[in-house]
Amino acid sequence: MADTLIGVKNIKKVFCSPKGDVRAVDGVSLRIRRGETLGLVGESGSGKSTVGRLITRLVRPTSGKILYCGRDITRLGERQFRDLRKDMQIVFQNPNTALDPKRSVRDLIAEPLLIHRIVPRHEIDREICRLLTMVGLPQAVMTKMPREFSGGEKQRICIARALSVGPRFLFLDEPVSSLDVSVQSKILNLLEDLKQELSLTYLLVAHGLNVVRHISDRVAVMYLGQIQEIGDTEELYEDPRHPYTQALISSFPEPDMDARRKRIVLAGEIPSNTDGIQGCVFHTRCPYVRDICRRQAPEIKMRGGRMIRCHGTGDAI
Amino acid sequence: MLRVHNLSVQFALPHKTVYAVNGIDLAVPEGKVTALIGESGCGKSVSALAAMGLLDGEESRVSWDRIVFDGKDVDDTHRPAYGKDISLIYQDPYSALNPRLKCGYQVMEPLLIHGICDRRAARKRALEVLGDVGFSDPGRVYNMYPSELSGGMKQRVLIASAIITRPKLLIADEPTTALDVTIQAQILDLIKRLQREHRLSMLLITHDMGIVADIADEIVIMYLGRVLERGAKESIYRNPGHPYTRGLLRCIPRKQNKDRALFTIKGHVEQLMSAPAGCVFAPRCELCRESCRQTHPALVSINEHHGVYCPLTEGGPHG
Repeated sequence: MADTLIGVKNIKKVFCSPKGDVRAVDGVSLRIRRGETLGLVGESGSGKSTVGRLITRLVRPTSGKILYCGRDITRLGERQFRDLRKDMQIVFQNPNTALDPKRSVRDLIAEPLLIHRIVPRHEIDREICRLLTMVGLPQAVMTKMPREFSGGEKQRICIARALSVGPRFLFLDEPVSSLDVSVQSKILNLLEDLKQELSLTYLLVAHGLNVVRHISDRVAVMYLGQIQEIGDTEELYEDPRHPYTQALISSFPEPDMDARRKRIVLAGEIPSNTDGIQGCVFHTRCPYVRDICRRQAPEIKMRGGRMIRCHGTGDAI
Repeated sequence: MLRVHNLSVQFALPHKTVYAVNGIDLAVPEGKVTALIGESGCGKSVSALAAMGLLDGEESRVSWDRIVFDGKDVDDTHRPAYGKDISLIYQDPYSALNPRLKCGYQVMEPLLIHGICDRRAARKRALEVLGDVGFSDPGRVYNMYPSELSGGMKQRVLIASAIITRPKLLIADEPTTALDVTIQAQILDLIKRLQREHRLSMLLITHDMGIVADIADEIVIMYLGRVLERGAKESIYRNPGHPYTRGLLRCIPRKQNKDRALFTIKGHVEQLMSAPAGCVFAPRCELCRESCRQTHPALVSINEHHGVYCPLTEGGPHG
């Protein structure tokens, strides 16, 4: 489709470990539209970060296709991909480890500008000033070192670095989870403003469900390497249909005295994804589990405007 | 259960002195949950540790006027027994358990250390408590090593070992921060159930306003080593008095502010290198007046159970 920026078709990623193969991503298909923010939620080990890393080619898929503007990027060589690297950038979770502590802000931001030859050498300082202003930092910080900044400021530097090469797509991997709430709100506002200003497209991976709700247009819910439900943010939060989405959303502690909901507490733990699970991956914890769920894995299907992977009982859907 | 008056903590580092806690009062009523809320570096964990006498490094200087625990004054000769009268649940279940000892032993260890009972009785009690924290097969967990357990299960083992002596006060320092949402829901339910069943007095340290809304009775808001607001949970959530509390509540993304830019508090947290003169929040406060910078504001009562350290609260411009 014309408005699709990134299309992911049935990608799988298997990591080999001494304890057995880990199926981190197990047949994920989705598309990210131009100019939208797609939120990806799920718990540790659900494969949400791996999906982002596959799309941005930090890891290579075991099978499946990733289309960027209609072009299959899984088949490109490193050289051919280099141009696309400018289009797709990443903002990592922990700004403390994402910045080289021994280099000044000027060096840190100049590096991508030089590698990709974005501006001529004599204009680099001017370009760095422009980027710093864009992320809300004063130009005077250029000569400072990362340790002189707070977590929020470091994250701003990381964002400036990501933007320096003029990307169209940003993969935001837990961009605010290491920050305090009062800093978090500033970074979220900044990301929203930049998206408008630069017509960016975001893939946001986060476990803070309220953060995802705030800036995502659509949300995909992952569990054990598979997408369980995907739909428009407000519809999905107001009326979650997959039993896992229901439990996940009800588990999130709302900071609101009036919004107390009945919490669905799931029994048990997330199974390990090294053991091949027969049937639906969620059946070990699902409150609505039936016989068919244990025998046969459900396909993800369109139901009432929403993609859902569930055999579905009257109670659940 | 616990009352602390005028507690201060300073850390003398090689090149500077950090004023971590600056004269705070704390109270944990019997059978209630008091939440200590604040952002990183506001001194919430340090306050709790110092009040319990658990902070005795060479670089830390702790002082207080008076600490009363369970009706008795705490001084150098009389201290509550840590691990017996007071237990602590740590934030990180991954590093709080000894990887080389079986879970069962770690659960019953406090009973043995304090000589409460013999090994046989301790074992029996450990199995009971493991059942109490939700393990369906306590005998199996008893013989497992921490590495065989998931994060949520480890936290259950830690909770079991914290409550085995039936402590009078339980301090929970960010007990669910390291856990996933659905596991967090399980652990919060467990803590709530145990707290009610055993009528535990609890000091909950957290930065998560959602968890506080869920399980706290009383709230204390801290900023840079000072208390800015304290009171009953309902009253604070519905009618926050301090500009900082209002800011904190407003900058959380939620349904109502979905399409708007989030509220932000200007500036950022600075470390205190000297004892603060005026209100610690003054440099970031939108309503700050000259007087705020000079003297520490007195407590203003909003109602019987709710007080604010801000002169602008009563009949202030923000209503």
